[in-house]
Amino acid sequence: MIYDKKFLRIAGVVLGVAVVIFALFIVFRKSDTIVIGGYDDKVHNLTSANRDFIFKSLYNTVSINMPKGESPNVNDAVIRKGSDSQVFDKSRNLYEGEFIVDMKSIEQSYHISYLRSDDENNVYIRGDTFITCLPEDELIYGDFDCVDMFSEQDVSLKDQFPYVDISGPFKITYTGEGEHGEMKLAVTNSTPDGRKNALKWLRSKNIDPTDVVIDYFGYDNPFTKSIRGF
Amino acid sequence: MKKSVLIIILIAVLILASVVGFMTFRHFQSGKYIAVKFSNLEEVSLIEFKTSRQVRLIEHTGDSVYINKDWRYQLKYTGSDGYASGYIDVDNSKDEVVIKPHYSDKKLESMLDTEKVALIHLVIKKSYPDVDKNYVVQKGQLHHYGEWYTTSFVYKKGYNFNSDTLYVVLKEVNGRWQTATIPSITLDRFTNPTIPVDILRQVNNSSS
Repeated sequence: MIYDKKFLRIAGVVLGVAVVIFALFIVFRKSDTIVIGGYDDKVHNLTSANRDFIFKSLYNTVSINMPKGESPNVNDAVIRKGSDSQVFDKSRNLYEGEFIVDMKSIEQSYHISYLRSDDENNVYIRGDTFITCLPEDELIYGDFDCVDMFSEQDVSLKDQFPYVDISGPFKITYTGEGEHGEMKLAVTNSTPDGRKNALKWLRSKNIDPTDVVIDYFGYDNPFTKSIRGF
Repeated sequence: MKKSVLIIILIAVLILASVVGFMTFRHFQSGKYIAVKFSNLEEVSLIEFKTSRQVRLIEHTGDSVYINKDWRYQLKYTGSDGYASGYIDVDNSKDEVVIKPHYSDKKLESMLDTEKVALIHLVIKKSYPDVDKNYVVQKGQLHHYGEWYTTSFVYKKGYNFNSDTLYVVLKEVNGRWQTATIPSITLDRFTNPTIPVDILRQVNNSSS
């Protein structure tokens, strides 16, 4: 018989090595998501695609905050007790929720908020997620110089404020961060032409007025007190 | 054939099979299939963003395309008669991309007849009764499927410290037009979360 014992032994060893290599690959393969423990129990009314997106977004944000050259390998992400909440805004047909996620192994925590609508015509039909840094007093493992997707973009931008253009005339001041990490700016010392020039200057710095909240101090909007019909 | 030669051949086949299996596994690990669904389009193609290279033409709605998860792709589409053409980013965290083209600018323009403009302006005047005192409400334009409308209020009493042009968005809900924003110099997506971002960008592009 061709297949004697020796052959079977060698073939067995080769197969065994292949299986071990394959198993090692599966175990140590790079994952690009961070699974949040307790998510299914605490977060409802989102799709599985929303869940995957949250896990992936968390991985991306943690990646920014890892030491250079290190990838996140987190298996202990959990939702902080009592931090989860969800409301349904009937007028906007929108689920709005938030929670804090803690990761003891890397001593980091983040705030996660999300929006999703069931209404096909709503812009949030596919959902949206914001992963942001927490204020220092909510960091249970201490400050880790957190940078999120917004602050990473804004670090160099914030440095440009306050910006004054006497001939504009306008002054743009950074006034803080909004609920979703958006940059808040104030345009002051200005005129109608000055405000146009301020917007042109912002665009020249790749800041789209759609993505920042701008207060125009000194401008008295005659319609601010009108009742919105929608 | 000698037994040892047979053994070597079999080992080589096993190694080759392992390598092929591993490569196939890696292939599926580094990429994924995404279904592309669309309607009212003449042509759809997958473009590799960095090089603008057309990866493949998508002939039928529901066809799946293989993408590398580490690369950025767009779908370029050409609308059929009355529908807009454009690009859409492929979100590799999703399993399908649905392209629903909006109406073309030409079609939207034809929908905005004098009667419709008058009707919408009447709603604006109802919401803001004093608008005519200081502003001229411009003709404006429709967006998407004609259910969104944007226009500007141009100050008519000469230049002063408060003579900025203001922009407003309206939406048709159940056949009735309603103001959807407060007239403002710029409209950001955080203050106006119910307005599609592409419409806000278009408005802000005309303001600056």
